[in-house]
Amino acid sequence: MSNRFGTYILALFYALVFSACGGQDDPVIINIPTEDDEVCCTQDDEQKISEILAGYKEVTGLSRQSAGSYTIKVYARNANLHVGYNDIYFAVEKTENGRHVKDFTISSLSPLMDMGSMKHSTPIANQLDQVESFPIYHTWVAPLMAGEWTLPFNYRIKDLTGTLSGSPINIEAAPDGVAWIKSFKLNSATYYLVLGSPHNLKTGVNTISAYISKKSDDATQPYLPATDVFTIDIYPTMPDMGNHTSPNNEPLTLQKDGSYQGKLNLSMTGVWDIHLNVKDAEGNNVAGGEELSDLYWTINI
Amino acid sequence: MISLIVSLGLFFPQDTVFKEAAIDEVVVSATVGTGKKAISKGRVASIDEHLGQLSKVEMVRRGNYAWEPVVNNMATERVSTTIDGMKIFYACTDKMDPVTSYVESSNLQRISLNSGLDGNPQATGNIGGSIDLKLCRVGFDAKASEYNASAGFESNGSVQVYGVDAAFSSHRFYTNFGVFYRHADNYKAGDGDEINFSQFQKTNAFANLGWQPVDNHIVEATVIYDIATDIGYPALAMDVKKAEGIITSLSYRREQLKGFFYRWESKAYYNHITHNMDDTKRPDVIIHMDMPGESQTAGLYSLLQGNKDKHYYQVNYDAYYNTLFADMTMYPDGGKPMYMLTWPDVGTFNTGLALTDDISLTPYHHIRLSAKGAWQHQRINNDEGYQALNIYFPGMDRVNSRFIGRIAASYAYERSGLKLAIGTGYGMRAPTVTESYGYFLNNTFDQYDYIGNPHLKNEKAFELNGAITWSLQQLQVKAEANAFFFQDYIIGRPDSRLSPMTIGAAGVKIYQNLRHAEIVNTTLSVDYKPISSLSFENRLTYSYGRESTHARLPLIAPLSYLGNLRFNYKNIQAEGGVRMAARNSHCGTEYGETPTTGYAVWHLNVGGRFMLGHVAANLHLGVENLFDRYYSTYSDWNHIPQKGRNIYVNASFQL
Repeated sequence: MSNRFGTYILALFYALVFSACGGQDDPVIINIPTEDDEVCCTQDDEQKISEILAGYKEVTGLSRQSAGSYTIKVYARNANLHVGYNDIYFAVEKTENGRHVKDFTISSLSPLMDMGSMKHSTPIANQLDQVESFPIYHTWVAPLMAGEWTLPFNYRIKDLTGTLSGSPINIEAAPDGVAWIKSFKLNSATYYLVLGSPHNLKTGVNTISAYISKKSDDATQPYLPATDVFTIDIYPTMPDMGNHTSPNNEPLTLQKDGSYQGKLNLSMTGVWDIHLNVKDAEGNNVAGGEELSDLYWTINI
Repeated sequence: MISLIVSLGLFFPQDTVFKEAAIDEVVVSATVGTGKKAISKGRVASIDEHLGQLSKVEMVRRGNYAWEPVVNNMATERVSTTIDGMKIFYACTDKMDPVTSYVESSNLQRISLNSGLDGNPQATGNIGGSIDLKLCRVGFDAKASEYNASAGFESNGSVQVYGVDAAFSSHRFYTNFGVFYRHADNYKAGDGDEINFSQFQKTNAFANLGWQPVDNHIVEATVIYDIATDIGYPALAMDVKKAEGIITSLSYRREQLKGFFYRWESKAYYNHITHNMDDTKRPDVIIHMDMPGESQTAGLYSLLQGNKDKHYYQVNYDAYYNTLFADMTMYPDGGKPMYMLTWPDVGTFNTGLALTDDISLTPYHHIRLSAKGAWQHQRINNDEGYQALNIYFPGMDRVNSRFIGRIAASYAYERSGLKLAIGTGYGMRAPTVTESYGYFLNNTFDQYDYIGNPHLKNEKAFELNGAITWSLQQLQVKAEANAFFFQDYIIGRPDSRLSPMTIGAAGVKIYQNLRHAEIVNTTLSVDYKPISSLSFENRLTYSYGRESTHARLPLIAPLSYLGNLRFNYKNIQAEGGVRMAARNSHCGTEYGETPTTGYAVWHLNVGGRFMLGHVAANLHLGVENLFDRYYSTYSDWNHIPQKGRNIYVNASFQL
């Protein structure tokens, strides 16, 4: 009872303060001091972080791993990752109050599929990028096949470091009929062509990104983006429409961030084959070919 | 009595020599023997058959229903069609539903055609001409009550037509309303072959109301509901499940005003059309698809009419907003549906001011001047459709504004058996939604997919026309010609870079402005009347169309002849005649047109009006294509054959 009364008094006090300020817009921010104020974010930041992560789900088996008094959260489009390119986001919360921590890094993500007789890794980004200035880090992984995988990583949260391997995660098959990863061989090495963000494609002009990852000599090590320079010509067609194609597509070229970017024009929804013609820095064909090459991604928008 | 004439008569004084070279009318809800053109099938004739009576009109047939009127060898894009001044736009991307298909003969009193750029006040974009369908309103102080019933039957295709309507009228109030039903099975061509998918069924209901709370203050309302179902289009790859139109209007009119204007009419209107294509009944459909379309138009106009001294003038302000939406979903066997917008929900706002002045300089000399200016603003309302067009036109604007206008002048002279009329005009039209924003619209005429071009310029045209008539006692000879010189003529041209969407299509065409094009139409008519009950009418027409690359334009009528021998005796009218056309060897081969062979087709009919007690009866009996000739005209889409021999009989009763 007395508590509630105290609240009323406080409210009255605020009302007086605000009316006294007479139209001044500056809000009165009262930070509640905590023992580690410097690692937590402001309410505004927390609001922005939840806006950024809205629409994403925590990845089962990967998210909510504990490290000291912190919890590491991992987000993706769905609770299970799928074959092909997946965006993933890392965030660290203080376990006791759920507030986000600013000072952390994640490194050495090492996806691994253990098939008994053999083990292999898969294409993955070679770095994590901070999302704007918020304590969220983005990366991507592109599992080659469905099944049980592990995705261990290293962390540093303030002065605390360690490795977490989590429980095995279940990678789902890609939707029926699509093919978001293709491979080619060059000088006895295997390269993977990973189509970025396949869920974001829509009718119209799409700026698309892709990655060319090279299979590691030790197949259990992550397949990082190749250091070679390529160009990928694209030729989209609709197999259900007599290979109807679209004009004004632009080849994918290497960007500073290691991705390949170009323009993909999709004139309607449905199934599209994006035929690829991979050329090296000198313009020599290294995989696929002109127009209806047999090297192609298949998407379904 | 004066108010009766005014209320009934929307007949303006210019229905005289003024527009000798330019105006043509067909009376729809008329009984036999009323001077103006009336079709022998009488009240049960279809709108398309009525339109075919107009001398500058040809009909493009894609089936046995919903023919597309072509005026001066120009189709829908270059022709304005209004219903009592109301704008209405078709909802099918494949032109399966010209707006004239959403009314029925029983709705109309007459169809008025203004040839060329001298359009009716509400018309915009009328280079070829403007058609106004005048609704049939019984008016105040007419017969207190009148009942009509009509029925018709045609042997070829078992066509059945039934209609009833009623009219009530007093000094303060009138109403007329009715329903009409039409049903046709597949028809047979001249060789007896059944033309599959040529059936249709249509129901139309209408009501008109008039209220005059105070003399000369008139409130009028109209509602038309029209629904056609199971319509076959033998010339096309698809049929239509349903085509539905609702047309409404409310107007307020002042009559007998003093001063500069004697009449002021303001009307607000709304119409809504939905159109659903259907390929489920066709064999060998590679990919089943749904293609619905929707057109909505709301608008108003305000028309002032007046006369003073030698002048009869009209001032009209009009505005309308129309949206056109059409999409297509294709269902490949076992595959994921494919979706696109074929008309990306385009909103068009158009507002304009029109002026006309008819001047009688002397009893022999007349001048007519008309002008209209309009501002049009268009916007693509659907984002997905806009994004898709961006592939083909990177960086295109989502909105488009433009000014369009027209101006025309004509001079007529009439004295002792000689009539002379000359006229000229200059005007422009904005590209249609199909021409600007259409998306992969397959045209079965040339097998191309068409994509609109948002960067099109207005199409401009300069018109010259003239007519000379000599009337002797028994002979009347009339020679008539008009010529249209286009700049930035809009037509689809192949773009070999682009890949068609339709399986089996020849390629993709993009609408372009051609530098120039010309269309010339000439007619020679000779009417001979040896005795008052007998007349022999002859009409010979020749047209020519060519564009700047020297290619012939498509769908230009070949040399054709129409001959009719008419016999009138008391209440009986009989007619026998022939329609002939030469092979159209100079057809638009560049545009996918192939020649049609020449033909001669004969017809006979007899009709009469009788009194059966208090009931007036009109009876008609006739035969079309008397010798069961197998033929198709140049305007039969993909050369679908015309009807073979067809015997019809119909009757209408009036009480």
